[in-house]
Amino acid sequence: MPERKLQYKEELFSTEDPFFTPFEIQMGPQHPSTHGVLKLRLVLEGERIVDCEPEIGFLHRGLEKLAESMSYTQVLPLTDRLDYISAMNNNTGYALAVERLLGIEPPPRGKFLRTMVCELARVASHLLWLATHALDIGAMTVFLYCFREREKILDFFEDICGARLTVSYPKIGGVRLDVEMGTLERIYDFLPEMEKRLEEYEGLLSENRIWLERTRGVGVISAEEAIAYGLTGPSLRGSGVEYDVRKHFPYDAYPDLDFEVPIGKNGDIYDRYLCRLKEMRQSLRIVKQCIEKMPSGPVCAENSPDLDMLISKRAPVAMAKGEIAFIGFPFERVNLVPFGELYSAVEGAKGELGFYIVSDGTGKPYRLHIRAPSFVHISALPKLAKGHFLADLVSIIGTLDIVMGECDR
Amino acid sequence: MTEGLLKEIFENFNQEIFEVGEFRGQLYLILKDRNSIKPLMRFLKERSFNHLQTLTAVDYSQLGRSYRFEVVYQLYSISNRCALRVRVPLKEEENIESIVEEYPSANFFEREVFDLFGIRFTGHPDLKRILLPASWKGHPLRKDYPLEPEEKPEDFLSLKEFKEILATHGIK
Amino acid sequence: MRLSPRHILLVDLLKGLSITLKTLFKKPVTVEYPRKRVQLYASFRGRHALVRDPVTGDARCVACLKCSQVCPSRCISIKFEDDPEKGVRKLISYVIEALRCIYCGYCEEVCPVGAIVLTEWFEYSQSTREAFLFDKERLLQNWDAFVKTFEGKVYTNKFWNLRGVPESLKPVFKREGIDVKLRGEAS
Repeated sequence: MPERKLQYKEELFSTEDPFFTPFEIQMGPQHPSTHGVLKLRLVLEGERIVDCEPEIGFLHRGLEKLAESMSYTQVLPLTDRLDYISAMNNNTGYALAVERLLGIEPPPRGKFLRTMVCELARVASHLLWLATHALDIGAMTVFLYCFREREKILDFFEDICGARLTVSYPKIGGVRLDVEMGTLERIYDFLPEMEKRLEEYEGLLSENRIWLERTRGVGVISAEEAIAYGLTGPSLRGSGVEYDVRKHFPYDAYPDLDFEVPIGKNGDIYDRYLCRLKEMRQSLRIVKQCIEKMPSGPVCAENSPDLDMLISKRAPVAMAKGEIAFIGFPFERVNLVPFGELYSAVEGAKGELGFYIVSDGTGKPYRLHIRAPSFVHISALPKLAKGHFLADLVSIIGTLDIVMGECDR
Repeated sequence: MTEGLLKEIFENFNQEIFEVGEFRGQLYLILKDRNSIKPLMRFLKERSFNHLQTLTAVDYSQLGRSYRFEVVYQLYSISNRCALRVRVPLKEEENIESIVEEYPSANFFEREVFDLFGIRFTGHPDLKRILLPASWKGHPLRKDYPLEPEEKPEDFLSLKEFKEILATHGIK
Repeated sequence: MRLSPRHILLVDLLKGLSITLKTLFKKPVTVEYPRKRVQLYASFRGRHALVRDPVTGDARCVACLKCSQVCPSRCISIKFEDDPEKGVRKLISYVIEALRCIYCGYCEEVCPVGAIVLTEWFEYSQSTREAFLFDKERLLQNWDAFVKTFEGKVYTNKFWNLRGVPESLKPVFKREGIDVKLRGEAS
C-alpha cells in the first residue's frame, strides 16, 4: 500500500525503453475540474503523467492596458474582477497601493472595517476552495455544506454594500459606506455557528481514510523549491515556510490584532488542507476582535480623491460649469499625484497579491502591474504533477487554489 | 542586518549601479548596463534574497527619456525581511539575459513581458506568448498600441451603433 | 494503524455518516424560488432608474454629465442643449447600455441632484440585446415599476453620503430623501 505508491513515483521514464509509448491529450479549457478556463497539454504513459504544460490566457481582459486610460478611482471596480471569489482583498490591495503613493492614511474605523470584510472574504474564498476541492476528489456533501455557509457571508456583504460578489467596497482612503450596529451584531452571532460548522467539515474529512489515502504524500514540494517557484500563501505555508504578508508587511488593522499563522510540515496536499482550515479559524478570531475593538469615527480619509477626480489639470469644459454652484465643499480637491513608482502587497486568499504602480503626475496610472498568485502557482504545476496518476492531477490543481480571473487578468 | 547587506551590494557592484533611490520607504537600484543583471542576481540569491516578488516592464516612450523600456525586478529576503527593487533600462530592440536558472518563478513572468512588450530574454527555455494566442500580431502594452482597434469587427460594435445601423434599414 | 480497532470498525467513516444523518433531520435552507422570494437589503445595486421629481413629474437630471464621466465602463450617453432664456441645460436624450454596466454604484454616488439610482430590482431579463438600451422613458418606467413595490413614503439610498459635509449643509434630498408619490396624485 504505502510502499507501492512510493515505488511508482521513483521510477524514471527512459525514452530508450521500447515499451515507452507516451500519448498526448488535451485537458481542455472547458472541464469541470480545472476551475475555470485552464488548458493543460498532458503527455501520459498509461495513467501516469510524463509531462504537463499549462496554457492560459482564455480569460485575458486587458486590465493593465485599460487601467492606463482611467483615473485611479475608476480602476477600483475593475480590480473586483481579479479574484472574483474574494473581491474585498483585491480592492484593499489596490486601495492600499494608491494610498501609499498619495500618502493618505485611512481613519481607524475605516481600517478596522476593511480588515473585517477582508477576513470574511478570506473565509468565503476558503469555503469555496474546500467545496470544489472536495467535490473533485469525490466528497459531494462537503460541497453543499460549504455553500450553505458561503451564502450567509455573501448576505452580509449584500447588507454592507449592496452587492454580493463584485463589491467595490474598500475605496482609496478607507471604505465607501458605514456599517450599522445591527449588521455587526448579526456577524458577531454568526461566528460561533461558523466554528461549529468547521468542526463538521473536519469530522467529515480530516480523519476519513479515503481522504487520507488520496491526499497524503501527493503533490509534495519542499520548502526551498516552493520559494524558488514563487509559491506564496497557504500553498507555501504547507511546506513549512513562515511567510505571511500580514506579518511581514503589516497593513490596515493587523498590527493591533492578535492572530497566528498556521504552518505545515510535509508540503503535501493534506498539510495545505489543514493549513487552510486553521486559517479559517484564525480569520474568525480576527473578525471577532475587529468587532469588539471597532472604534467610532469617520470611515474615509478627509483628503481621499473624489470619485470624479480630474485626470489632468485642464479640466474638461463640461465640468467647469455645473455642480459646484449649489454645494460647497469645505475640503480641498486633490488632483495632482506625486511622481514615482511603488510596489505594495496584501495577503489575498490565494497568496501574495501585489500591485506595482508607476505614476507620472496625472490622475491616471502610467503603468499598473498586478502580481497575481494564481499566475505564479500555475508555473509550479508541471513540477508538482510529474510522475503522478491522472486522478492526482485533479487534486493538485485543486490544492493550488487557482482562479483564472486572477491568473489572466 | 539590512545595512550590512546593502553595503556589500554597493561595494561589489559599484561600477554597475547608476543610481540608488528611495520613494515612500522602498529602495531601488538602477543599473547602467543590462549585462550586469545576471551576476547581480546570482549575488543576491546567495545573500538570501530568495523570493522574487515580481518581474515586469514599463514603456517610458511617452515620458521622453533616453531609453524606451525598463525591466523591473522586485526581490525580497524572507529571513532578513529586506526588500529591494532593481531596474534595468533598455533601448528599443535590445535583449536581456533571463534569470530562470536562479529564480525558476521568473519563467512565466518573462514570458508575459515578452508577450505584452516584445522584450526578448536570451537563455529562456521556452519563450513564447502566454496570455495572447500564438498568432497575435503586435505587443499590446506598448504605448503605441491602441486601446480599441481601428476597424471593429461586427460583434464589437456597441449597441448604440448597432441600433443606428438597424434604423437605417428601417428595423426598430 | 491498519489493524487498530478504530480502523477495522470503520470509526472514521461512521463519524462522517453520522454528521450527514444529523443534517437529514434539520430544516433545509433552500428558498423555493420563484414561489417564495428572497428579501433584498436596502441599496442593493440592481436595475437603473431615473427618479421622478415629485413636483414636476419629469426626470430630475440637469445634464451635468458627472455620471457619464465617472462611469468606468462608459455606458451612459447624454445629449443636451443650452436653453438661453433660463440659463439652464435641457436634457435631450439619456441612454444607458445596461449590458456594459458593471453595477459599481458610482453614478448614483456622484449625482448631485439624485437623478439616477440603482434600485433593488434584479429580475429583468430580455430576449434581445437591443431591449437593454435603456433610454429616458424606459428608465422613468423602471422607476414607476419600482415604486409600486416600495413600501414607505420617502426613498433614501445608502450611497447618498457626502464626506465631511455636516448634515445641515447637505442638499434637502440627501438629508430627507425623495417623496415617492407625485404631488397632486391621489394616494
